[in-house]
Amino acid sequence: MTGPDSAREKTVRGDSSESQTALSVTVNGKEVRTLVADRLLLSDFLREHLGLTALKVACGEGACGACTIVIDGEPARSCTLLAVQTEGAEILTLEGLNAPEGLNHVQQIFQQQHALQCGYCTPGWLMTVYSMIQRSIHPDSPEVGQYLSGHLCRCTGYRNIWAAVRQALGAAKDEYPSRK
Amino acid sequence: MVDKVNTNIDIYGRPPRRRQYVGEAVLRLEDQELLQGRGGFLPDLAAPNAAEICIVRSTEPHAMVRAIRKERALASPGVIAVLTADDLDLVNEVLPCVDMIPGTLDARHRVMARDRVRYVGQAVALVAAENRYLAEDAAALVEIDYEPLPPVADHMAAANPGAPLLYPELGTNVVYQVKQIDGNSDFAARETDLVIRRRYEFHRQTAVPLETRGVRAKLIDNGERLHVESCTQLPQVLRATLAGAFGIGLDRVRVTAPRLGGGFGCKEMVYPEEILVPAVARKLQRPVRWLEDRREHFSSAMHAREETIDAEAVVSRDGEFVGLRLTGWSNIGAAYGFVGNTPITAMGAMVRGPYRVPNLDAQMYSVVTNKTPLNVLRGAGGPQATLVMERLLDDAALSLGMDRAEIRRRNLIRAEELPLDRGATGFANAHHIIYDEGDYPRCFEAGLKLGEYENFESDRREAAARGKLRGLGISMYVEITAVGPYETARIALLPEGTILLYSSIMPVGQGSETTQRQLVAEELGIAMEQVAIRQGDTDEVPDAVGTFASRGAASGGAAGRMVARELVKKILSYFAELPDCDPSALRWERGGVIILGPVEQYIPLSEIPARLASLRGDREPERIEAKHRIEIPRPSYSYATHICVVEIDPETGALKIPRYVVAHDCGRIVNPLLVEGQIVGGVVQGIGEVLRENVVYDSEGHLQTRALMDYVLPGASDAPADFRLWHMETPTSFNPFGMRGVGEGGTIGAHGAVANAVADALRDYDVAVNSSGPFTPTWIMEALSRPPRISGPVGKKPNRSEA
Amino acid sequence: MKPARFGYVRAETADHAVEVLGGADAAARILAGGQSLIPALSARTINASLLLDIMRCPGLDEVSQTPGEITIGAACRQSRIEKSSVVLQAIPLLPEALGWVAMPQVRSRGTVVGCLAQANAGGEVPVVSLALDAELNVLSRGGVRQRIPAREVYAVEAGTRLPSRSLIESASFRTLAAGEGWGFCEVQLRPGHFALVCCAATLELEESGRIRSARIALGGLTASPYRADRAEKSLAGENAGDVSRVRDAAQIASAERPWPARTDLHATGAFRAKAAVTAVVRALTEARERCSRQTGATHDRA
Repeated sequence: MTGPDSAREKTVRGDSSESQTALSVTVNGKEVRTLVADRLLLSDFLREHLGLTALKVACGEGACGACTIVIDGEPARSCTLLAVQTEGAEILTLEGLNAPEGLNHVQQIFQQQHALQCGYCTPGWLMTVYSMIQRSIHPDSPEVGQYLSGHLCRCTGYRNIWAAVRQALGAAKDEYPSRK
Repeated sequence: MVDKVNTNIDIYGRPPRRRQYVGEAVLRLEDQELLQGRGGFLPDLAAPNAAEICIVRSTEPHAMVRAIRKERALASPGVIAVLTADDLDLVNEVLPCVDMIPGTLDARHRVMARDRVRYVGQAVALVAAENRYLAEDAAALVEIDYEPLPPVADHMAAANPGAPLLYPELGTNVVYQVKQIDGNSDFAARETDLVIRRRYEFHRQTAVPLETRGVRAKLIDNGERLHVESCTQLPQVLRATLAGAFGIGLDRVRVTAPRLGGGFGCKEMVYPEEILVPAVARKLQRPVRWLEDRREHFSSAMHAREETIDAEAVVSRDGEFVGLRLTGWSNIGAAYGFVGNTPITAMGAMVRGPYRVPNLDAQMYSVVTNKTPLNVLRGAGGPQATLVMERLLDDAALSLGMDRAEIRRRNLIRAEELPLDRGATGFANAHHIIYDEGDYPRCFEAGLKLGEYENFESDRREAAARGKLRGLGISMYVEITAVGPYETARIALLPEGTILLYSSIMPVGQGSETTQRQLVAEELGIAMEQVAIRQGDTDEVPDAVGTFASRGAASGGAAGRMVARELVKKILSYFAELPDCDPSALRWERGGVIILGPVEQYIPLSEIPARLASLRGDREPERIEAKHRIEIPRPSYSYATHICVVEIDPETGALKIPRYVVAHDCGRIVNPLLVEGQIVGGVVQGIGEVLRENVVYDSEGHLQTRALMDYVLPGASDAPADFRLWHMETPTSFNPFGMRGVGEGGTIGAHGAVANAVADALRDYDVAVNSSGPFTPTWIMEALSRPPRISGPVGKKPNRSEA
Repeated sequence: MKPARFGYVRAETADHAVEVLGGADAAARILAGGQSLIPALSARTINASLLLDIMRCPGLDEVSQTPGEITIGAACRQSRIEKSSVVLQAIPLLPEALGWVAMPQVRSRGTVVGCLAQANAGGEVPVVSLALDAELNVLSRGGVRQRIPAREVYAVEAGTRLPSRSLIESASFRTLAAGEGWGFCEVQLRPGHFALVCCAATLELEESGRIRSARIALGGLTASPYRADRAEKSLAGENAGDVSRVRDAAQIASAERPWPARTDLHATGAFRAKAAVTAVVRALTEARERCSRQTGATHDRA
């Protein structure tokens, strides 16, 4: 898989009409200081500039949830934000939740419940589930449906995702993310 | 809750030993990468130095292109090139269609518009720039002079003489026709028969995989070869088309397809972009990339399902369907899709489903219009066909005062009648439909029971007491799956003692990596962990048919099992060649070679290369390869019963689905976890299609639905609360391993089940349900504003027709 | 779907923002959460020459309360207000309505005042602003500050009537009176999609159970929300438990729409007109139930 690759930063090639702004932001615990084009979308900043390609751009309008990440502790779309809007923020992507080896606890539940098929929407769901766990949302709470309404999946028909999410919410908060 | 069968979660780190895999709910190993976000989808692959392409698309539905001016675009920052059709050096600009039976007119799609555009979204020019932002800036500066022509968006209007012609040289917009007959096509109604005439309308939908399309291309091998990566279900077909497009040998083209983020049929296509983008790579002599955005996807990825069907059913007073006469028109858009005529052909071929209906006379047409071209979408015409038959059954039951289950019982083909010849199909590579073994009545009764059909009236009354309208819909279908004409596979026993399978099936979400490995591991008698799989590379699998028509496990998997047998034969033959080895003493058992004798020797697979090398005096263990092509003369057929319960809130028109039941038979199940996932996923997709999804054009051919907030997919709240599945496994003699396909059935049954349920919920209102809806709140409220229906069966005098 | 070029400035204060706005061309825009603005820029359905980010302006992230009024600053995010105990105490109608805005993953970034400024058809926050007699605190060039009632801002068929080149610094909402019940009802295709119609209603009842005052605001039926003044008047003095009176009022509320009912891809005007009746009935019914719960009295049908 790809890592951060400065060769991929192609936004500005000596073009003075492309205005830029300095950006300082923490991504997965690491501080990033750079200069970016003002119109650069956060999704493209994370994917193309930092090589964090777990999040997917599937609609560009904020409707599908595949680009979901966590900003300052809350789930958010990365395709409806400019990178420059996140100055000073703490951003968490799926890469920051992955266990050093194998699958973390929530990922294992998703696998066991067959809560993914093509896998394209999956990283987005996992970020929302992480947020729900951080907020200790009860699996029977009506908020569960609200959070899930923020994601589209074309493959699974959602039933297995419901099961996986509820199971994940039944686990104690400090079991996730697993760093074993 | 869906019951899980034999969930096996402990597949990591076990020592290899013989396992039984067919029928096991093995967890997917590919999930590891996917759950970590390392799926390696095309947009995720690093593209250093790749120029980004933005395609300039027609904003006119029908127009002559008088001029294209590139100057302002060329002056835009970061632009590398602005190209039109003339710049692309194509030898052949025509895209393939495999449905062109004799008599079909040539309305094949072209790579790029030249002097005429025929749909909004058609590629007219393209920009290559340093990144997509700059490419889009420049694309907006390309100036195109259109001279609008009269558009025709409606297929019935387009089929009329005097309509504007998309291809004047063809003289008509009706470009394809197929006639399908069975029994006595001249059947006539007797005096006592009921005749039902209906016109059914099917609205336009589109697949919307979460992953949009994308193509990358670069020159490799010192510029001698072209490497194209594309989100395609058909890498081998694309390769052949590319070679023809550039007039170069097949060996100079390599196509690789990474894992797909969903296909559903819209990636079963050779798209203009898949030729354009490589043409740019050749021209610029540098790597290029095109990533489709969602907005352009709505106008340039294939659409589906839009058709009109006139049906006449003749039914005896006993409820037996004597015959069906159909005429149908498919709105195939501006040009053929790869299998663009298949859905309308499937209507005539499959409309009767599991019902006997001995006489059939079907005449189907494809009509070109100024809309995005049409292709297959999950079910490939099956949803529409099923809805027609199932609505006719319910209407006949109503007219005859007969119970809806009873009328179906009287028409279902019995097990002892199968296999059954259903007549010619008109499909280019499946000329005859012959249903294979099965037990439709048993499946039907299981569905009714699981769906609590007998108790439904009390269910309905209870809902009515709460002010809600409940309805129950039944549908049953037979689906063509596991089509041929053939499939291939390659396999290798690597020097380190593991298996590498080269599969012709692409991963699109259906879990093919796991299913194919299960089958090969079972065939060889080894652990799945010993089998690796590679997919989607034409250098590795140059000849394959591809991933569609619910054929991955059944056709691709059959090829995988057969090639594993070839490998075993080869391994045994190598041992047989050894001096002092008696060939008749060799066996393959327990995942290895057995040499019978006074002391039985057992060499497990992992040690075979090393042992052979030492026995032969070779310096190094060698790779042992086999390949196989399996001929598939006949498809096999899955079938299922769907029961759908809907509940309507008459104050808001909101519709929910409190219960959904599927009783199905897909032959020998390889992985029940994945099978259930396909069925539930297919049902929810079908529910979405008939409740809300709708590709909307204005009357002039301008696309109105351009975003996911316009084209409303089903969400998590739409999953039926109570979803019940029941499996039966009737092995089919049409597949060497008894497998049938399952990927599309959920969608095929859902349209008819939901439509029938809506009609049943609204049975007290004078409303006709003769379409796929969509049954939006607006549709429902309009239906509820209609006068009440006169109660009782609409009284039938003998031979009275209903129009 | 990448935006065209624009400049980006992080405003240091509200005054600074308005200063820059005033000196820029007509395509300069205020940027708060961006949840409507950025997707529209990506699709290039709108353009901007300059975006002025106000999220760091001091004071704009405050929630302040005075007797009878609660004021929410322009930089307050929807998710924060949805969970704010101060807001839940004073104007619970707003957090309830916020729960219907898009989805949680959008509300984490979008702002309450941003909804008021965008005035999307069917927007829940504009509807609440009418029900709660909100006033927008608008800053124009040269430090000119004015309070503009939401009713005036939305008195156009679509969009807003605000001074040009101005910034909404905050919105002030009337807090609910003791015993005032409230209700919110939205009809939508499915969670996560827009409102087809929505209604925010409040009721104040006499001890007898008769209606002292009703406020009914309807959104989605027309592009701009409106207060159903005639429906409100028809309820004055009526028994809150009289189902047919409530239904009549709901019919009046739908029929008195100042502009034609909206037809779009998702529903017809005729549907919206009918669904609006249901939304009003349900919102009023909820409001009445909340009156009862607060005072502990039961209000039986006459």
